[in-house]
Formats: sequence, C-alpha cells, structure tokens
Amino acid sequence: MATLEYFLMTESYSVDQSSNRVSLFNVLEDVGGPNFPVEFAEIVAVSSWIVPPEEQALPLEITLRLHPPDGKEPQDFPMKLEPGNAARRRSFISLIGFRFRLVGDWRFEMLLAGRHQANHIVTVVQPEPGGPGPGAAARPGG
Amino acid sequence: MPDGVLSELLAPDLQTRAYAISGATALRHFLTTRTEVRAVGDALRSGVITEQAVRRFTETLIRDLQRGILFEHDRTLAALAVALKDWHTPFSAEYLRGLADLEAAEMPYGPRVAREVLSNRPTSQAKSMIVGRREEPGTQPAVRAADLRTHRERPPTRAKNKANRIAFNGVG
Repeated sequence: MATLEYFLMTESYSVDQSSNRVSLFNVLEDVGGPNFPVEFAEIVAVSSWIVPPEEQALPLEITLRLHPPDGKEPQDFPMKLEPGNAARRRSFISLIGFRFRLVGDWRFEMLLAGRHQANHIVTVVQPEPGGPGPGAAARPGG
Repeated sequence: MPDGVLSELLAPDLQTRAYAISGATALRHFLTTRTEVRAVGDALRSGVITEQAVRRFTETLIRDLQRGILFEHDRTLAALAVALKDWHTPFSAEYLRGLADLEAAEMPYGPRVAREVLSNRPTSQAKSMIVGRREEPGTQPAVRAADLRTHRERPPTRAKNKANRIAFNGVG
C-alpha cells in the first residue's frame, strides 16, 4: 500500500528541472486580509507518496476533497498518478482563482483510493477594520 | 506588593505617562518602548522571575477591582500584556486571552491592549534546530569524477511528478 509522505496546501511551488527538488512557497495556515472574501490567484495541494516496489506498476487514485466551513457538500478533485518505476510520486493539484468566501476552517482532505490519509486546515479570519490581521501576506483579489 | 521588575510596573513615572495616553494602539506602542515593561519580558526569559510570580502579582492587583469604579491597575495589566507579547507559553496565552475577553467598564484599556497584542502576535510558532556542526567553507569534500559517473548511471528513481490545474474562478 502506498503511503502518504506529506500533504500541504500552498500558494505556489516549483520543481527544479535538473535536480527534481520541490520547493513550496507560502504554506496556507491562517489567511485573511482587509478585503473579504479572500481570493488567491492559485492555491496548490501538494502531496508526495511512497510506493512500494510491488505496487509501482499500478496507478494511484488520489482525491483532494474540499470541506467548506459551513458543512455543505464537499467537493472532490480526483487525480490518477500513473505507474512508473519511481518509489516516490508527487501530485500538484492547482485550484486557479480560488475564493475563500466564508470565515472559518476550510478542511482540505487527501484520500487514496477513497480512504482518508490526511487533512490540511486553512483558517480564514476576517480581521477587525483597521487591522492587518493574520496572513496579511495573503493577496486578496489577486 | 512584590519587589523587583514587577513592582517597577507600578512606578509613578510609568503610571503618570501612561495615563496621559488615550487609545489602545498608542498605549501599546508606548508600553513597548518602556524599559520597565521590557524588563519583565527579559526577566521571564532569563528565569529571574517565574510565571507564578506574574500570576501572584496579577492576583494582587485584581483585589483592588471594584464594581463601578475605574480600576486603578488597568494600565498595569495592559503593561503586563505587552511584556508577555514575546513569551509564548500556555500561561501567556491564558493571560492575554483572558484579559482580551474581558468587557468591563472599569477597565477601558487592559482588554483592548491585550487584544492589540494578540492581533500583532504571530499566529503560529515555529521552532527550528540545527543538529551537528555547520560546514565551514572549504571543508566539503570535492566531487569526484566517480561520483558523477555513479550519479549518471543510477537507475531512474527520480520522483515522478504530475500536475493538474483546475479553473476554480471564485466558485469556492
């Protein structure tokens, strides 16, 4: 059974073309800003999976599941990681123009073959007028 | 009343100047600059005073609180909140949140300054450590030709990457 090595929600990432090393930028934790709702040009679900040799010929069926804080129906973003002879497989699921339209905990869940593997919670706060609030580095509207 | 750095928060000079300031933001900035306030934070970090001492000090002050009368130590509690701004422990969180949550006409400044301190605190704590000795320049072994050959000949075990882009465009 493949195992999840890590799973994070970030604002962006890069993969060095020569070394194949991953860099993650601005891991999302608390976000907020003077304007609400908070919109990001892009957020990325980054996950890395360790695949045992006997399963490397099989695809990995993963799903990013988004749970908004109001308890409404979650949204699924499935992805198939094709077989290969690498022990490690990474996935990058980019959500373009993502808007956090509610204050509260947004739960991003990672599943493998429909089974829960990990959560990453992004807390959206609406700061008091006049204050920068947490995550002021977030770029509302952009 | 206790001696030492905590009692300095009751010093007439600090109290008089603090009374001349209106507005929680201005008061927080003023208190941040005061040596008496910084000394409390330094004393906690260096172990000169304990959290228990701060707790006892606070309890002593609170005894003077009377309903309907402006609390004379309101600004001292605000000063303590500022002193604890860089002290990240359950005690400081309890103190700051407890004070920030107070809504009492007798205390117009302490709770507001505590809220200011909390909103200006980092929301997550990070701690890093370095294990082992740092490499000094020039001490790293040179890359040998054999290493490069080994690198080129290694089996293709590089991680396999896959990226998907989903246009969300505000639907979330």
